[in-house]
Amino acid sequence: MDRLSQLPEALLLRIMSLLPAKDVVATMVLSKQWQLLWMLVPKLVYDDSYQDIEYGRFSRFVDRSLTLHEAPVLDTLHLKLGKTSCGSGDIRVWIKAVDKRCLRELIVEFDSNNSSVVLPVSLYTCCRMLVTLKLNNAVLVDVTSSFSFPSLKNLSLVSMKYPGDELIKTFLSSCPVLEDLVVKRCLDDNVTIFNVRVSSLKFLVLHNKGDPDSGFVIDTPSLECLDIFDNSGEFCVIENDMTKIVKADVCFDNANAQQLLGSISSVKRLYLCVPFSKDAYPVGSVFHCLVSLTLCTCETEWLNLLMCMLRDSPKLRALKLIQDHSFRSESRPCWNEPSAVPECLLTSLETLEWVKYEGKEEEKELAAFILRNGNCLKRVTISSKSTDLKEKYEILKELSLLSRRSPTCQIAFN
Amino acid sequence: MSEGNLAVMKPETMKSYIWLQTADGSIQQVEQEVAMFCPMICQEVIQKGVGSSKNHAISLPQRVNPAMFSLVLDYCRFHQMPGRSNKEQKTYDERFIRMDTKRLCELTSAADSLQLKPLVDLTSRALARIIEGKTPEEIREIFHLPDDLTEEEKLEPLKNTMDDPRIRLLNRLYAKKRKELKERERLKNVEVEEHVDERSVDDLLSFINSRDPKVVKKKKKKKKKIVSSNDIHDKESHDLHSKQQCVEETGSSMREVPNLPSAEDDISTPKASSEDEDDEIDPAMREMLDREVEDFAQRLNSTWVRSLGQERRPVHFSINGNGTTRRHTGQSP
Repeated sequence: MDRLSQLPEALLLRIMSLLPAKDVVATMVLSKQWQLLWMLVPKLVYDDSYQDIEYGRFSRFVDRSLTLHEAPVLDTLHLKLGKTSCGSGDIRVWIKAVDKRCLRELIVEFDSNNSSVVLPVSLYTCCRMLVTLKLNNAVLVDVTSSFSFPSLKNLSLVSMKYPGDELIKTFLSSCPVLEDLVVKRCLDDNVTIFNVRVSSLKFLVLHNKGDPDSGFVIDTPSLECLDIFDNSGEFCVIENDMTKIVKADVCFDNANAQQLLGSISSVKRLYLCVPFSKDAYPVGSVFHCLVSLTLCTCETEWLNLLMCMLRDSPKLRALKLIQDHSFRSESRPCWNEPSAVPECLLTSLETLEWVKYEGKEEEKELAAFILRNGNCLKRVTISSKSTDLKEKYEILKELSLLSRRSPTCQIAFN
Repeated sequence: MSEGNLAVMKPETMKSYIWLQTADGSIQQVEQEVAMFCPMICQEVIQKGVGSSKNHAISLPQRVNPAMFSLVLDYCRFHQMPGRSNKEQKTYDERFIRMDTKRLCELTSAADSLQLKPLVDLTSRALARIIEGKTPEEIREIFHLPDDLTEEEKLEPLKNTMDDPRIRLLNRLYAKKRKELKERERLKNVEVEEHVDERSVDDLLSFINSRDPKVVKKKKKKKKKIVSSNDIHDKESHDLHSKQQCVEETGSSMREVPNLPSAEDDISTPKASSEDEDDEIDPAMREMLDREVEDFAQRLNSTWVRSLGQERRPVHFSINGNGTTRRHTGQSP
């Protein structure tokens, strides 16, 4: 008994939306009932890496299926290209083919071997109902006529090359309701200053693995969630504090980045991996809302940064120390007993988690300090970096001998 | 069960139950928090106030038979408990959907009518995984689909659509490009070999069925192979063009396309070419499409009705002012 075809059409279309386009179109020969169903599937994913398909056949297939596809609303068109020689001409034709379909989501990605396909100008002018646009590893061109994406909420630009700084400004200012922006830059993308000025933006991911002479300017007053990774850039300027920020992951190579800290002082959950310098630290900022802090211990001055952060975060509840990168410099950090015990230790810090603890001198001092003064500590979890059982035993012994101020504090060792 | 009786007698002290009636008439009671996990049941309880006693049991939709309902309840019972980690849930889900395809379809249907979206997603994904990558024959066998297409329809599914003016236009444009390319080729002295090809499948189907040798052998057709020159990208063995030729010869009466070099060349060159050529194509294409889409839609409806009999009534689309679509269909969901 054929139970599959009896499922309601909406359900069948949903199941077919999970299939790659070639399987979707193949359903047309299943039975009479299925002959025309494929044309209504709202999501089409074309992948040219299927079994070494050659270019002509693949591009013909996309041409025809896009032309014959009937549904007036095509929700998603996803093109995964790169294995065949599909180029800008193809993209141009395909975008035009879906022009009247109220396309909601367009994803065009090229695999990393094929990195210089120029996206056509029709990308800006067609598909005005786009809500999501994701581009990966292609080249954007300048456009002289004005354009806008009135519904665009999610934009992702990964490893793209641009004609210059201006296009980015024009592009972003043509998206009045943009909420989610992901930018991952690559080398030689022709951008010196990447301007992100979007007043509606709530989520921002900025990764810069590219040019050392370039940087970011960020003006996003409504931002709630920030993820910045920059291991080469020259600068990062924040215009306008982000008063609505909730979560931030900041991983910088550049000491000037600490100015950024001042603009995200309302953050609740923070991950930091920045080099520390006393001059660059935003003295006077208080992280009133900070509840959870994770610090990467790969920098020389991480201890000083930590003490400043502890001092300025009166409500901190959870602290995590982790070494995400190999240690940067020769000299080890040096423990300086602070003059006053940070308020959060006395009143709010509940958990300490330490990953890749090595048992070095300054680490022991810090652990002792926290345990000695942590009034509200409930749980301390320490995972050792070494795998030598004897070493681990030594560390454990030392830790358990430290005096604890909090009567409820438990130490878990790994 | 004594527990059930107690529930009736002392409702304040025992946990509450909801009474539900499946399509076969049998009535059962289910713990409230488990049953309320289904939005449809939740709605009935809140909006209509039913389900509190045996006489006022909630009637479940017809697609929910007792066996499927008990599966749905198992799912709800597991997932409504707070504190389950993502990993636990995933492991449970993976084990849960291991069943034969017949039951999987029934379960999808039941979950859909109960509006239990997480279970619908889970079962839909499982069905998609089964369908993906299989040949039409395999799919028909697994799901017991009726094999009611003629051989001709299976081999040339584009037969109806070859009448499509858009496709005709596309073919004409491809033919034009191929001619141009051939002229260019001649000037470059490229070798041309001719092979005889056993296979006759249309382009879409050959792409889809490239792993299935069974569907293929019917007629002898010609196939051309071009040794690469410097602007041809890929080497060719299954010629797209020859397939198209076959379709056109056997399908409708179009024989506009002469024997010409392989398809990918004419695609790669025109599409990679300059703005000018593309501008030449697009306005013309657009104009013709606009004029003939209406005509095609009408023909589609009538073809549909003719070929499927009473199984499916024609689906009419209308687009609302804001661009969203409203589908009027005579089918019941």
